[in-house]
Amino acid sequence: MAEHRGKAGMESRRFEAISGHLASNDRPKSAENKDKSQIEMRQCGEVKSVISKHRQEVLKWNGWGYKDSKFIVNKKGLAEFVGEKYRLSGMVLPSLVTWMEKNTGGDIQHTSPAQSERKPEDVPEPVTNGDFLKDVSELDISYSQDPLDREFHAHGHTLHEIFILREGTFKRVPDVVIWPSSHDEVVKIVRLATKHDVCIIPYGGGTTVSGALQCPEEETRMIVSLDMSQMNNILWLDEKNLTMCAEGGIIGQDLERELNLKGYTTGHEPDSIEFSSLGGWVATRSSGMKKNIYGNIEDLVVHVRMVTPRGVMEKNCQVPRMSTGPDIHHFIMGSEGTLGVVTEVTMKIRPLPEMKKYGSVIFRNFEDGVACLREIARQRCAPSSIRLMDNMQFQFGQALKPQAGSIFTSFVDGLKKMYITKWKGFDPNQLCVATLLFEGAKEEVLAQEKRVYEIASQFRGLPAGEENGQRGYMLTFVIAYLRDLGLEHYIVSESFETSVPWDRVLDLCRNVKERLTRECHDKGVQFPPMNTCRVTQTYDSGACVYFYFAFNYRGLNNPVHVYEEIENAARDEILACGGSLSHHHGVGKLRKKWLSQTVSDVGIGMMKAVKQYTDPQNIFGSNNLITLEKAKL
Amino acid sequence: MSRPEYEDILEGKRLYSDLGFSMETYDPPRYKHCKPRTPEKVKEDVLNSTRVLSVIEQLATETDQSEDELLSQARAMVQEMGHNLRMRSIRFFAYFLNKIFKTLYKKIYVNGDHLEKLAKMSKDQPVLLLPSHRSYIDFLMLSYVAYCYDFPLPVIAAGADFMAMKFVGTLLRNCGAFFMRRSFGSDRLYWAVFTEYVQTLIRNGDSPMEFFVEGTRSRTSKSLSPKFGLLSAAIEPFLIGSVYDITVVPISISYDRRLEETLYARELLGIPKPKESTSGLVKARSVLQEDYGSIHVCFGEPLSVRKLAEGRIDRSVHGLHPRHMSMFTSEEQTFVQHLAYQVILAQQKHMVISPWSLVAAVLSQHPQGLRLGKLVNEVVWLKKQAVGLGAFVDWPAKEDPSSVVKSALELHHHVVALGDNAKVTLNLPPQTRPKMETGMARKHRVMEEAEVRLMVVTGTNQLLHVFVRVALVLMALSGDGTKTRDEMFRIFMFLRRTLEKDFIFMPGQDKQDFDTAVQYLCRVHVLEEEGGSVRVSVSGKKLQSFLYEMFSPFLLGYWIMCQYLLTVSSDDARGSTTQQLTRGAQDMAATLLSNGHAERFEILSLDMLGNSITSFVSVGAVKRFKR
Repeated sequence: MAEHRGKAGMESRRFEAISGHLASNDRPKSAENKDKSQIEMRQCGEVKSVISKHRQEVLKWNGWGYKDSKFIVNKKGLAEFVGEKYRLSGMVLPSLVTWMEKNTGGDIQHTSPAQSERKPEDVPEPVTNGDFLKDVSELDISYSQDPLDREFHAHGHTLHEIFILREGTFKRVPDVVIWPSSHDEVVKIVRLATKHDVCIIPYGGGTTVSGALQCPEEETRMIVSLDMSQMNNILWLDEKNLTMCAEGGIIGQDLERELNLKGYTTGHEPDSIEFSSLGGWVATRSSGMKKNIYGNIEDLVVHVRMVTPRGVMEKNCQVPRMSTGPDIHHFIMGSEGTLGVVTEVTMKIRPLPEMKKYGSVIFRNFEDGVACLREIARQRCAPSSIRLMDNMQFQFGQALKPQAGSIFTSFVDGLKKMYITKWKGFDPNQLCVATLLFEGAKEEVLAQEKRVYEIASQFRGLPAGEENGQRGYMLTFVIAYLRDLGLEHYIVSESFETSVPWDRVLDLCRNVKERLTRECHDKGVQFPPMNTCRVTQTYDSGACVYFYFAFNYRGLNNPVHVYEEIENAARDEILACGGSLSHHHGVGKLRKKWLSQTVSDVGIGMMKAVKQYTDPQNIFGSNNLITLEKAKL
Repeated sequence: MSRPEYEDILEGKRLYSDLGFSMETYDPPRYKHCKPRTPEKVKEDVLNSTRVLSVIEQLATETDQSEDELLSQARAMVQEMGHNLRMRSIRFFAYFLNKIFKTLYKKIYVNGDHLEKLAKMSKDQPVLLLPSHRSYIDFLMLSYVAYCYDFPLPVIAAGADFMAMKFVGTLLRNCGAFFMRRSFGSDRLYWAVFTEYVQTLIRNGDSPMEFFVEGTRSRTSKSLSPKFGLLSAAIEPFLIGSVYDITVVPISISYDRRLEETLYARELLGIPKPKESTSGLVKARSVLQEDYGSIHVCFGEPLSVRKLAEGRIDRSVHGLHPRHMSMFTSEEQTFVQHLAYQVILAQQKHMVISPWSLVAAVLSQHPQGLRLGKLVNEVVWLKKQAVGLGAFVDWPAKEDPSSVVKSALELHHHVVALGDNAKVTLNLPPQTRPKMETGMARKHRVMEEAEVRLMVVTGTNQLLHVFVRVALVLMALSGDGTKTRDEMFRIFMFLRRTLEKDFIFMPGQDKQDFDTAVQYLCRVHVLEEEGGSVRVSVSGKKLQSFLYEMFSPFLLGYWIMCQYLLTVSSDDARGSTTQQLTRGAQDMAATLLSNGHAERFEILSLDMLGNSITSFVSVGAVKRFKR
């Protein structure tokens, strides 16, 4: 077993991007205000990450997020969020347990605890390609065959994977974890892998929910998990062109924190930003909450370096646009680790906005809300972020209300007060809420805010305060921790997403929920499931819809299998209603079976042809997206 | 489906006041995603729909009409079309129908447990009620039944000819009827308005929607071939994902005796039907003095369109076009067609066969009448055959067969009489035949006689769907009597194909139909198989000859059409209209009958002669073109 080089910083820092959602509107000085004659191109130093090299030291080995942060049911039988990382940390959520019981059935007293610490002997023995490892050691590149390191790299965060961690064992895990520290090292590793016929699965933040990190069980070659976390430097920042270049392994929150210190932001904020990596964003076609201002990853990327078995692929210039045949970036974005590994990315940056303001609008029903979002999109005046939650998600938000805290001023209390005067006629079982985030120069923000609220009023929507908006965004990050609480109590849950033309949004939401409910019933789930959705992104021609789905699995022998069948049915329903296979989660292995229907057989053929040329030996053998015929390789 | 459990809904109401009945609480369930709206709002929504607006825009560029003109045309159309379902009218209607139905009918049987289940389902998805259509009474009856069971009252697609009736038109409209022009050819605006009207009602599930897959009332009492237009429009919201599912309910409404029996006989012979009018209805009041026996309303097993489409239809293709543009893939067209056939076959399955129908079938084969004793024996034998094939015969178990037959005769006393000599004969016009009768006069006499005889025929017709498959198999064996299965199947196929307009067969299921029929006939020892050949057993001869007599008039009618076509086809290059052909062939048939060369009056039926042309067109023997 190799020696581990240098110890990465263990000290975890507060996540600034999140606290950004919690802080007041006074922002640090905007870069715009700085003396423009300052250094235009700056060399940036090493970035100290909140995530450690051996991730299990900071992160849960069998659940979401930081080790210390989780929901528990305390001695009084109330839910509590413990830990130190979040604003919600240390708070008691008095109505959560009742809400869970009511909406998923069952009783919080029934527990389904996970297996305790993983024993190293439960992890499969590694397949070792001695020649390869010998060559890697000679290059003095850090690697580990420690079972716990290897298992940590064997999965992402689908329900299936978490369930295996809690109750079973993986049949196949990576045989070695390698931590390259530079682009050149990656080139060498890929060359050696090709030479010795070793399989590589790149590993960024490990937050995938498409099964992309799972090792193909039938893979007989040695599998390398190429952990990019040590390649997390910001290489340079170019203020003249407003771009920066960073290594692919940098974690979202580290990148954002460092850029913020310099007065900039990428504006790319996927919900996984705390843990996901820059290279991962590129490889999966990621989308950020604030894309209305900053764009999605495909709009942000200026230049990418990708190491493939065939060599390094990149453009020779960093220009805003070019007409040079099909854009090779689009071979990379969404390739999901099947063609190579992203080592360096040049991305657009923006000066930090002068003002950041939250808001919320309350609607009588979901239909009104969708109509309003559609109108806002038509007028192209969507704020940085706008999300419409359905009634159940609104109520869910209420259930997550802690006992105290200024930001948590009770919405319900406010509601009751206003109810009598202003909101008469709003049915608490129908109403839904849109949360808003405005960013920009002060006058712009105020003008936009006014315009959005005017449009909302045409759809009988009423402003419901900044705090409700802010809370909505804050909850995005903690909601991910809720699944682990559910799993402790026989509740499986998952989220899935799609994109859909505007005119089909309502039908899709209704039909998918209906399908989920009926499938649960047909598959013997004893309680009605919780299913809820939100319209989470708006575009000119459609929207992104995000579903949360949970059910109580007491009495079922194989809850994960049942869950998967139900999710498959829901995906069929989405496609039948004119929705896409995925807006931003990607395909991985989970959604492979629908890909040819989605992009046509010719489309699959093109992907295969690209793969065939770039990686004829299937070194990047994660088997995501497409299945290759064995004979050809 | 289990055997329907019928209950008589008139029982109890006889002791109860009509007014009280009409004032009962009526609080039907509602589709869970329905946003309640007024009939006026429905019309508004239709006019504001993308479908209608985009057609208006297109027409404005293609023709010299302005958008405003087109919009006001559309408004007029939707006004003409729209229902106006209102509680007050419903109560009035309930009062009125309760009164009338109690006078007309002895019993109204309904399998109410199914309707109660259906009421629960109607909360979860929009419902299509698809009844058989053999009488005006059908839709009145269904609304009445719905009211009795606290089931939401349907909106009903009715022919626009009703609309012209003063008062009644309005009343029907207020009770949920909406009107559809019988033909609107290529009027795109009308089609858009109508489609949108149907679909907005289904999408929002305001009320269950009722229409007749057969398109019009069957005068013959046989099921008509389905029409697909309205059904396609009604199913489309599911195909494009506007609704989660649609429940389709085949409904069979069976009559002991129809109100319109005489009218229908005249129509089939080509004596024009009076235009629907209120005064006509008032004149028809004498009709209301009669006894019409019982009615059976059977709600069939509900069909989930979603389940039927599973694995057959890829709905995601509709992601590629705007949803207001109707596009049906060929799989979807086939799907709708099969659904339509499935509905009609399900209606047939749950039709209740009245004793009259059996009596009529026997009478048809004895043009001169027969003794009551023989009639009863034959009827009992026939009943056994029908029951064997799965028919539900409304035969009181404990009653003496001859009294059942007698009451059937009594119910149809306008057609048949039981003489003092215990001989059963038809009430034919007096047979005063002059010595030197002209051909014309003879034919006239034939037509008069035919009016009565066709009423017997329509009685028989209710029974044909039970026997048609086995009859075609037995007819395939009629020649030298012994054939291989393959030879039989070829003839069966030919007959089935030829008669596919007169009888309902599931497209593509010919082999199954054949095998099932052969299997049945072997099981009951009508057929014997030996050394690869099949023949009719000695005991099976009776069934064979009875069914041959039952179905041969169709072959005869088709043969006459062939003969007639041979006389006209060569001399006129401009061709003939269907009407000219059917009339011509009918005239030829009348001559044959008056000469005594033929004795089955079925061949005078314009309906059958028309069907023969359609059949010849579909096999390519005759060509249809527009002049």
